[in-house]
Amino acid sequence: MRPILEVRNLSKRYRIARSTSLREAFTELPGKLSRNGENGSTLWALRDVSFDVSRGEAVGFVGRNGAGKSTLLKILSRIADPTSGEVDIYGRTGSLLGIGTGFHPDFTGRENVFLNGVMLGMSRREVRNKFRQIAAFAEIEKFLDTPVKYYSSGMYVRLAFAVAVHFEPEILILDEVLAVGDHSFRNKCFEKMEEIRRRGATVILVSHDLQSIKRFCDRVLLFEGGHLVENGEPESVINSYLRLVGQIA
Amino acid sequence: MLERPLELADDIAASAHAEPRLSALPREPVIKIRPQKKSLTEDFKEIWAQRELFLVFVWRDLKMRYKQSVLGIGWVILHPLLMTLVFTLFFGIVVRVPSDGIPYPVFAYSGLLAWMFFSQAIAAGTQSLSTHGHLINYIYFPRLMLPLVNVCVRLVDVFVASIVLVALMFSYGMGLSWRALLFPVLILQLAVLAFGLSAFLARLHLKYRDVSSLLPVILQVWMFVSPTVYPPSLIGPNWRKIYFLNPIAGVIENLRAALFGSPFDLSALLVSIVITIVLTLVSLWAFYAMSKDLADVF
Repeated sequence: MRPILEVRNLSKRYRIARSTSLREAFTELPGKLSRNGENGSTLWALRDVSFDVSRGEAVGFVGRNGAGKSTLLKILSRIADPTSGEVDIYGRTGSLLGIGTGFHPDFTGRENVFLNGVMLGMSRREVRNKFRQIAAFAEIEKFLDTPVKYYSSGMYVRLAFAVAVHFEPEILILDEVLAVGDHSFRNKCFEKMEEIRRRGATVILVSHDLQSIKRFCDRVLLFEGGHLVENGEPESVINSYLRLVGQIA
Repeated sequence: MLERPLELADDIAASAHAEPRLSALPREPVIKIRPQKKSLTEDFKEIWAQRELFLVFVWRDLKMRYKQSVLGIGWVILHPLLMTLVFTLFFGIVVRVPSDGIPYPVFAYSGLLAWMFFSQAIAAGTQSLSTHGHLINYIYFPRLMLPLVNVCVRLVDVFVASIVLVALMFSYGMGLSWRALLFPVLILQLAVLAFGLSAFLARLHLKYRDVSSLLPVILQVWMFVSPTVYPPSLIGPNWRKIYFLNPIAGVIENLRAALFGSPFDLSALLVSIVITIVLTLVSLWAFYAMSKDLADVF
């Protein structure tokens, strides 16, 4: 079967920019000119990464901080541009790269559901149709018309996640968002995501919660220093990761 | 309108989501990610594709203003009125600046309305990227959408303030002719220029935070070289050509002609339009030239 997502030779170089004020820009000008325009240093966050994802698969990315996982998710979400290489995606994507990032503290729960739902890629009609379900899932019906700045952190997180799991794109991209809420809410989220997958959606997720990865993913990719170093069964790749970080011998 | 804008334009929404989930994969990729640079036309296509997000951003900004201050949208009217009061006292009554035979308060309000729209659109637009770093790192949308949203929100302000202008004119026994139809067109010209300049300044502001310190000074000078609170007839004939190189001067002069029935200055208008187009295009070009790694800045 043809993959739904193809990543070929993807690389990303970050320039570490330095000057932030005009004064520095002027004082550094002579140096810049003599170095032929090179400014600061560069960092390869991703180096020549290639892999495919089939439809309906759940794929987890693991690796240490700075291994390139989040950069890869940003490129797949089109938030960052690659330096070289290409990605072809044969479906609509929806990315959740932070919990509650799109929330506005002065807005009510109801308003934030609309705001965040549309930001994630839903239409207003879709949000309206799913509004009851979202509010019920988050268990905040009583506080829908309260500004979210008065919410407890638990309520905040539940509402943010409720919006995200009711958005049903063909490819769902999640960055470190499963480690939220209490145990029972997390179970509820997993059940919802299993349901999304049964309907044929593809899921790509980054997490440091290896138990969740093992439980949910069909395949795991291990990143180290911007390189894709292993791609296979969750059990064996997670063991390689644990060896890498020195957790097991 | 502030309460329920989400009811608007429902029919554009529900299209893409209806297809059965397990149909064959499309032949061509839905999304192609390549290292190439973005272009203006591509970005505008994408803004159109994401018009739901655009409307929600506008709704959010309007609503936020309404929530965060007691008078809410009332400031949109009060601010130019208070400025008009101040200039009427000092320029109209004390210094006795001429106003081409129009009651000074009406004269000043019309100029201040246009100028304050322009300057506030630029001042707020300059912050539009730097204050939304969290969103730029959170969801995908063309960055150009943020300065564009800002200008649209300000257009709502200027619409409200224009109602007050008409009321003010009626209270002085002045009427409106069909020529007043040119007024919104000239405001749109200011909007285009404000959009272009603020997009460039917003990008520059990410690199040099000094921009937000320098900008108020530049805008203050710009206001006084524009015929906001005095008529361009005060400018000597030798200086007129240079004076009208300021695109705002041609706009305000002709905006008053549209409202008050004085003759249009077509050569000033033409110069103003040409300079607006050139400045806007150069600004947008600079925006793209600087925007290669925008998400990387945050």
